Amino acid sequence: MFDIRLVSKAALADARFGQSGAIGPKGPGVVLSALPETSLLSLLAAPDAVALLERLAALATHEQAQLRSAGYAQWLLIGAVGTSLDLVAIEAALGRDAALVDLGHARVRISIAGPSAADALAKGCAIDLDPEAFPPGRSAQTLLGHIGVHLTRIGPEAFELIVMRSFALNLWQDLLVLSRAFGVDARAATDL
Amino acid sequence: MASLLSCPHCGTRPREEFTVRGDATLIRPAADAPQSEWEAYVFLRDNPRGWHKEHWHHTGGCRRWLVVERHTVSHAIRSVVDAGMRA
Repeated sequence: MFDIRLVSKAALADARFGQSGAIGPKGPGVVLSALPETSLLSLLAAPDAVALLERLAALATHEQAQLRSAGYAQWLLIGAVGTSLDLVAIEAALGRDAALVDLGHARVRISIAGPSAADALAKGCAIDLDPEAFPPGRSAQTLLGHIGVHLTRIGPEAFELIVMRSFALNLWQDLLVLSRAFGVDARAATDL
Repeated sequence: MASLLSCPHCGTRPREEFTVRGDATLIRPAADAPQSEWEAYVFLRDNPRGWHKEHWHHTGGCRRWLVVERHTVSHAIRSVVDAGMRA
């Protein structure tokens, strides 16, 4: 008999969704979306690893995963929605050349997109988000306000944030506040 | 201005992303060195006026230890290198 029942629940289940701010005829300036939770691996290269980036890129292609830079000799591997990364195969392929940490349950992904997405992010983050300086595909580990985030530009007007799970709700609220001036539509993962 | 720092891995970032540890020129005594040497190494610090080499940690970014050469009066930064890649 257990006194406490553990219930699996999305980190942003209790987040505020819907529209806020002034949304004009062109629609919301910012669309905020909670992304479905997926496998997520942190990779740290061994000092003497050879051609690791090429091998990681091949692994990512094979696993249908996305490889993102996370600082010097560090990457994040994000599994496709609905499938799990084959940790045994990845570990076997990399051997002692990289340290792996499974962060699937420790991180939450949030999408922020729309014509004013960069303007909203720029209020809380010091990275130069001009497309010349931070083009699609570029990633950065940085701070948004006081919260550490991994930021990636997905497209000209689309970004993805990866945040520690316990900060996700706080970050979501911050993003709503930063975006309200542009008109924001906040969507749950199920709406995607 | 020390409020912006050029991380060799991440580019220009605000000081809020970093944690300062202090003097990067200390030499660790031998394990069997006298206690007075260990006390000096652990507790005693110069407070130089002018150029100073310090360990900074890029906590909010790449999480690498850096050696920052900073002027303690003007806060000018002369160089930033990865602590693990010093010649």
